[in-house]
Amino acid sequence: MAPRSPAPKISRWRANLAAIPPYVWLLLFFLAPFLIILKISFSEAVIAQPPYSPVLSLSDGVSGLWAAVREFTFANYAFLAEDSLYIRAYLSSLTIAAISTALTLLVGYPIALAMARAPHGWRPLLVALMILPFWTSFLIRVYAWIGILKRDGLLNQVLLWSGLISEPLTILNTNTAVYIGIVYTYLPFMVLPLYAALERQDRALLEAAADLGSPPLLAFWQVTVRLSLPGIVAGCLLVFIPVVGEFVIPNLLGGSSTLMIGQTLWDEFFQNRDWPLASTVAVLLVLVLVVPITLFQRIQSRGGL
Amino acid sequence: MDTGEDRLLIPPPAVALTEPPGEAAGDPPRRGQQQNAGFAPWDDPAAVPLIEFEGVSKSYGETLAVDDLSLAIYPREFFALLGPSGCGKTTLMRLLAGFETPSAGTIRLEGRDLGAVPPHERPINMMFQSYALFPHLSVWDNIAFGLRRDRVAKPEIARRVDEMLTLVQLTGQARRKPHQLSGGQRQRVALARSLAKRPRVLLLDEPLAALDKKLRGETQFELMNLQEEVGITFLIVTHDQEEAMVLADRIAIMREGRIEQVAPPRRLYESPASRYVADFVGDVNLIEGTVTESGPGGVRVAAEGIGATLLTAPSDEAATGAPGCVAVRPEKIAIGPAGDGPPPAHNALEGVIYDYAYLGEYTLFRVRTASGHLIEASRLNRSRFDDNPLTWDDRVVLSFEADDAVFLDR
Repeated sequence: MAPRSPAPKISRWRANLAAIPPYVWLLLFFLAPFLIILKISFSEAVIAQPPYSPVLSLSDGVSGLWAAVREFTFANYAFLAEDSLYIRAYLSSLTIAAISTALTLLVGYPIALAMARAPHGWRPLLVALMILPFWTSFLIRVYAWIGILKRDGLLNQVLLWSGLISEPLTILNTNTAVYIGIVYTYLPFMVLPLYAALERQDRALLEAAADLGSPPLLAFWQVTVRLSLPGIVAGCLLVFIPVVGEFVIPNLLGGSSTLMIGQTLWDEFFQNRDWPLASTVAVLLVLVLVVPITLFQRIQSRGGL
Repeated sequence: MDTGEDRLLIPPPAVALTEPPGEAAGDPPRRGQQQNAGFAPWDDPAAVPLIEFEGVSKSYGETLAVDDLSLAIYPREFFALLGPSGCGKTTLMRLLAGFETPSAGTIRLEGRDLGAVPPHERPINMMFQSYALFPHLSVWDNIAFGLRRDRVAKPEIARRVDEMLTLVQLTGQARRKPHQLSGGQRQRVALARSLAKRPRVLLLDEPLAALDKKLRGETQFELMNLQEEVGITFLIVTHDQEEAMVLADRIAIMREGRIEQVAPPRRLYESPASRYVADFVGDVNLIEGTVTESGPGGVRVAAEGIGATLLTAPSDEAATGAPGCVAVRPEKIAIGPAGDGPPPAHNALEGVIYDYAYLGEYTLFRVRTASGHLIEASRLNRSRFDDNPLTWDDRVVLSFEADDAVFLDR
């Protein structure tokens, strides 16, 4: 029995080794920047280079670090709580993200379903078409929407020409334009996980539900929708999380009334050059997003819904 | 090899075929063709069929999956659709379940046209080949699924589900999810789920294909007993002839969307209607020839290719001068060393053993005649000892009773 144990030990050690790179990646490009931001959020804004104080310096050793830490302030956090602008920006971001996630799901589900039900040979092509927009710059595609949505843009021209409207619609620089832009941009992130969930569904399950007495719509709900739930959750989180912090789309397509936290963050950082406050906004944004992310992880680790 | 000696040993006996069999040639009494004498509604003109296919066709574009097919299945029958893949047997079953609509013809259940009835309203349930168990539901909820649709009262649902779990011996597994079960257990859940609604007809699509051989054998008998217990009409689709023969009261052999023959297993095996059926069900020797004489005493066929005249059981299809073939199963052919004792009275062929294989319960011999034809004959190994060893290149005489061979004209 003795010679049995060493071999699996080595392979387990190797397996652990293979898991290291992702952790190193996360450490270098997520945790380290986050800690820097976190530290800056406890600092004070000063007119200096860098524009905050205290500045951590490793040259003074542990005592120097401790001295800096004692200078940390929670003033920025207090300020965020006081000024309703920030709370409104967070809430508005979450609302816009929730609504646009729901819209993306509504548009994406039929597309994913059609792709999953398409003949086998077509599916790779359809998936390729879905990710084809990524081949051109995201910024250019958003600019293209300005051309479509503006007052004398493509959409208004077509609608006026067809006689559906007599006055051009104001879409650009409204929340509607932001929703259109977000749904358009994030659609692939919704469709692909949905497609993955729907494509591996056994069609016999739908027949089984019908066979056992479920009319078509009920069977669709009980089987197709129910079993694609992991895909729905994955797609919604893939859209919701980045949309909360979205900056480019509301900036280009939204109007003055469009309030999103990404914009606020940008203003604090570049307009006001208040790095500590901007960092505080960013840290809180991460905390707000940690909730849905951990939720997602727990669902996934439990082996689906 | 001296061809003179390899020719048919014995000249055909001078039996007048117009005489009734069993007397003139000392034939054994004719074997009964009826099995299961107790249950044979298909032979009763007064019996009312449960399912009727009438001129049903189903085409997919250019291809005809089911071709102008008519069939009647009776209450409490265990009916098998047997055929190679692509013969239309699955399509026929799916037409009955309502997953496909016929291109032509009508399907009736208890006299009611099913044409406009959607699948979820048909009193027919199906056990899917992949089992199609709902992966997110427990065994209990899978079985209860159909009952909930029927708006059955909650305590009644619980009672019926528990009854089903007992029936398929899965009471301990009720809370498990399908992926926690073995293949055999999943198969039983699928069966319980499709039986829970007490359908008029249960459709089984290759129900045992996913099980290993040993489990399949056991499950076949379980399925048979279960059908007797619940008294529901079962329609099974299979490509496994042994499975069909074990389970079914009647088997329909399908080929290219049509039914070649519908008969109880024994009749199918012993009296095949065509070369195709004879060849599909079990092993058979098919010897081509021309009818020289036909009557109630049998059919005499001149098998020019093999250089012999053979006598078969009587056939209504055999007209003098018509081409056809003599079909005889390997186990019906007696094999013995040449020149050993008096030669058989008729249907004797001489040859040499070209090949043989010991298969445990029987030994299969492939004998090459002077004409170059290979005839298969098998011998049951009744004894542990080979009293009469035969080996390669031994000269042997093959013989069979006229009644054990059939004449086939198609």
